[in-house]
Parts: sequence; structure tokens; C-alpha cells
Amino acid sequence: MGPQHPSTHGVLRFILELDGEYIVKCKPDVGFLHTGVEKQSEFRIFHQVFTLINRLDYLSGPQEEMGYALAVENLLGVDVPKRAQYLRVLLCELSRIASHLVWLGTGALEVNMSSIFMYCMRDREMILDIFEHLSGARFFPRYWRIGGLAWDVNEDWLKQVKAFLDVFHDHWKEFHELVTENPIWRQRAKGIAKLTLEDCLDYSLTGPIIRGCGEPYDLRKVFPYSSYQDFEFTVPTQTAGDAYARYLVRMEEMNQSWKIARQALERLPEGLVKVEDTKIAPGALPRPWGKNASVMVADKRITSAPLREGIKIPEGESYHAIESSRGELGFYLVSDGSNKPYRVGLRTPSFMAVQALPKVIEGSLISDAVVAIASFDPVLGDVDR
Amino acid sequence: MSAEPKEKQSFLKGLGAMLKGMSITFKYLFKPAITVSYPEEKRKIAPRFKGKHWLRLHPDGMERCVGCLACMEVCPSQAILVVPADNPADKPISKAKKYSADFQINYLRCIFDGACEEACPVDAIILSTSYELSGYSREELIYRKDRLNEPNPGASGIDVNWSRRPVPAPKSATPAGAAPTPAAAPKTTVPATPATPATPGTAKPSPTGAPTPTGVTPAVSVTPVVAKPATTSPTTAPQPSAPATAAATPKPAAPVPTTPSASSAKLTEGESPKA
Repeated sequence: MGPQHPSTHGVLRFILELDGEYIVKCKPDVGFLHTGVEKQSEFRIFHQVFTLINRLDYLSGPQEEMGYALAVENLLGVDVPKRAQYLRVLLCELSRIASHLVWLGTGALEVNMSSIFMYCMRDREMILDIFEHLSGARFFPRYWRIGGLAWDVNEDWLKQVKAFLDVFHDHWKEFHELVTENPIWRQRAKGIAKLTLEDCLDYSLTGPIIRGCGEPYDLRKVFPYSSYQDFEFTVPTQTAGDAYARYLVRMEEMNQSWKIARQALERLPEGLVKVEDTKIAPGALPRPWGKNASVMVADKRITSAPLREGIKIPEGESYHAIESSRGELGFYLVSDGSNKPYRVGLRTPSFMAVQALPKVIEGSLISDAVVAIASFDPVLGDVDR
Repeated sequence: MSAEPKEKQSFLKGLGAMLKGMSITFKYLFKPAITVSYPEEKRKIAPRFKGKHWLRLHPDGMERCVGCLACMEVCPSQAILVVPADNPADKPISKAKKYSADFQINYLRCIFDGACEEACPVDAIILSTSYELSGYSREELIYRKDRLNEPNPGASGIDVNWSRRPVPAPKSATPAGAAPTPAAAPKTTVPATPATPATPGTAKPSPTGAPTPTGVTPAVSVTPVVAKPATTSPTTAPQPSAPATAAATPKPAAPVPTTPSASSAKLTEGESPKA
């Protein structure tokens, strides 16, 4: 099956051994999207790595940038201003909603529910418009900078986010009404791709998969980063461990993300969006328009220096993980004191999910394998990297 | 061998759920379509959208690019090639010691992340909102100065003040069009610089007429308007809406507003990196 199969969510190939309609043996074949991000990062200065990192999990670019920025800031030992932290949280939660919407839409499309796919894409489009308005790019904003964010938000943008959050909850309820009780959906998803908690630990599965097995493991709660401790939200869990449980977990996560985003928007503090140190964050100063032009030029040469020449990150290593929409996304960073990372190691959640897929696929029907893949929600950019 | 017995759901409950779902989809039948039929109908693009590059010109038609290679250094995908050269003494092309003899952007490599724009010290390179870039050959997608330079000053319709910048920025916005905006630039059709053969039809003039899309930054679009009351009555200018005056008020000691707008426009033109 694959790599062009429409239900494999990207270029994933399965070598299946069949007995009639039943799958006897299954071997995932990955690597079609291998781009060598880890190695390439070693030849980019710290700020340039953002452009590689956010293309890993192409459905949730902001979250990837977040993890990498936090890992670098860990090494640098800088504290990001509160406003930047809240904005980061807001963007991450929006991107989590967007990512889950793709999963819901395509997952439902897998069992031939095509209208909900369009509704999901409609809402996701609104989120992408929000990203576009803010940063100029829809998928890969590159809005994160080491030490904060690129630039401040404006009133228009905040209004746009508010408008989205106002309508989204009703749309989310509609999705529930469309799918949750639908007998076809329940028959296709219940009892499919069942995992136990031990399996999750064995395969080091995280995110919605482990939460669908009853373990409330969420890095936003366990190791709060970027002011997640300031927000009230719950970690949804289910105990069944099947595709339907994972569906319920992700649906509830969208609701929780919506709640966090609203809180972040309401409580957004005033202040700077990046550290004042111009050696770390590029363009930290407001530009002195109207002054002598040569001052302006010199000024911009200075403020863009971290972007151009890079930051000298102190020697050492750091690991920082965030809760991405697919689970624990970890960045292991080694610096040798130069302006380029010595090593960037990635712990991507989809990779683990694909490893565990044969366990649930073997012994099932081909049509159930499709649901199993959808319920694991792997993103192949994240797997092959 | 199928793992579990499928769960039993009462028939009526299932039917009710199905009907409910169908009622939702039926409701959407009467709502306007959300899709956009693309080539005929275009989506509204955000003003900060990062698309095709422009190399901006000074209001007098000289090139802004000073060939400092900052964009080339900073580009994460090595899409830019700049060949700097010394300005000819008799006929300078830019207002600095050097200018870019050749400037290429390879759109097969470009990822439109805007790093070049952020690094450019003279705001010469800027990303516009046009995104329809396609071609039949490799050479066609390597843009050179003939397709990157603005056909005339301000033709890109992009102003650095609103493009991907903190928008209200009350401190940095100084009065009287100090920023070299295309809005402030006089509409003189200066002949293109000698390095650029008059741009062919490929460079579409983009939405030139409206210098700044509405609503994004009032700061730029109102500058000419603000400058005039400031000249006529320097003492009374408490226009609350105009950010320019708001910026001027914190430091009342500075007698800035007395300068007429024309001279300030000249100042703008005089702006040059170490001429």
C-alpha cells in the first residue's frame, strides 16, 4: 500500500502480506521524504534553522518553531517576555486546532464522509489566514525568533483571532453532532487499532495516543513551558485505547485548545515581544525613521546582525520537548560555541507512531488498516525528516 | 480474526444521529459557498503576505541597493546572488560607494521567508503580495534586475512601514513623511536607471494606484495630510487620530513641525547611506 495511496497521509508505504482480506504481516517503508534536516541544520546559523525545522511537521509549523526556539533559549539562558510567551501559546494552540482539523477531515474522508472534510478545511483556512495576516506565510510563519517573536501583533489581527474563536466553538459542536454518534463512524472506529498502555510505553508513544489509553501525559501539564501553567485547561483522556478513543481525545483537545487560546487572548499582557538584547533578537529596536539616514542604516546593520552573522550560543547541550499536536516533540541541541549548531537531534512523535503501526495493523482487515493509520495521524515529513 | 465484536448501538439512536448529521449538511445547502474559483476569482491576500521580491528605487529613480550582500548572507536557501561593483563616478546608480551590478533571485530555491527583507539595511529588497510565479524553464524562474527593479519609484506599491512591521509603533513614526514612502514620493516618471533596460511587460505594475491598503497603518497613508496642518499651525495640532502627531507630542521642545512638507520630502530624498 502506498506511497501514493490516498489514505496513507503522505508518502508512506506499507509492505503487506495478505491472507484474503486479512493482513498477516506489515512492514512500513519510510524515507521518501527524507531531506536531511538534522544534518542540514549543522550548516545553517541558528536563526536560519527555523526554516528547516518548521517544515518537519508541515501541518503545525508554529509548534516546531516553538520547540526549537525553546531549546536554543535554554542554552542561552534568556527569559522571553511575558507577552511573547502568551502570543506563542496562542499561536501554538491555533496551530494545534488547525492540525487536528486536518486529521478530523481526512480521517472522516477515509470512511467516506466527505462533507465534514470541507467544513474542517473551512475552519482551518481561517486559521491559516490568521497566520498569513500575522507573518505573511500560511504554513511556515517563521515568526519565532530566538529570544521572542519577530514583531508585535496589531489590533486588526487580534480582532481576526477573536472572530475566529467566536465562531469556532459552534463549528466544533457541529463536528461532534456530525460524527460522534454516527453509527457508521462508530462501527468503523470502535475496537480498531487497539493499544494498551504497556504498548504505548514500549513504543514510546505520546500525545493523543497515550492519552487515549488512559494516561494523562501532557507536557503542557507535566513540564509546563512558556507560561502554560497560567492557563486553565484539562488533559482529556479515554481508557479504551482504540481509534474511537483517540478520536474523542483529539476532539476534546480542540476544545481545550480553544479555551487556552481564548484565555491567552484575553489576558495578553502589554510589553515587548522579544528580549531587548540586540545581540540575540534581530530587529529588536524600533527603527529611527526620520533621523539621519546613515544612523538608520547603521542601526539596521546592527539590529539584523543576529540574523546575518548569527548568535554565539554558549557551549553545551540542551533538550527541550514540547507537546505538539502529535505528541512529544523534542529538540536535542549541542553547541560548540560557534554561530551554528553542532548537532540538532530530533525526537519526532510521528516516527514512533509509524513504528507501532504494524502491531495494530497485523491481523486486521485492509479497510481497518486505513482507519488505524488515520487514527495515529502520522505526518510523513515528521517521520522521514 | 477481526479483533473485537463490533459494539451494538440501538437502531433508533443510530438513525437519529444519522438524521441529525444530515440535517446539518442540509443546512449548508442554503449557505453561500465558501470556495473560491481561483483563476477567475482571487482570494484576498493579507498585506503582509510574502511573495515576489521588488528592488525599490529612491524617489529620484536611483537604486536603493548598495550591494552590501546582506541578503545573500542571510538567505537560508541560497537563492540570491548579488555581484557588487563600484559606482561609476560620472553616472552613479546608487547613492553609495557600490551598487549591485547583477542581482539574481532564483525562484526555484526561494522559500519566501523574508529574511532578505529583514536584513537589508537600506530597505531595498522587499517582498510584495504577488504570488503567481510560474515558468516553463529554469532560466525563466531566475529573476534578474530587469524583472526585480521597480519600473518607476514606488511602483511596487509596497511601503516598508507597514510591510511586516510592528504596526502602531508610535515611537518610530515621526511626522512629515520622514519615511521614504512611495506615497510621499512625487509621481514623476523618472527614467529607469541605466542598468535596467526599461522593464518589459513581464513586470506588472501591481496595485500601484493605492499606495497603502486601507486599515493596516494609518501612519503612512495620512502622512501628507498630517504634514500640512502641522506647517500651518505648529502650536495647535492635537489630532488624536493621527499617530504622527501623537508621536510628536511627547517631545514638545523639538520644533519639528515648522518644516514645510516639501523640504521634508527633500530630506527624504537626501537620505542616503554615506553618499
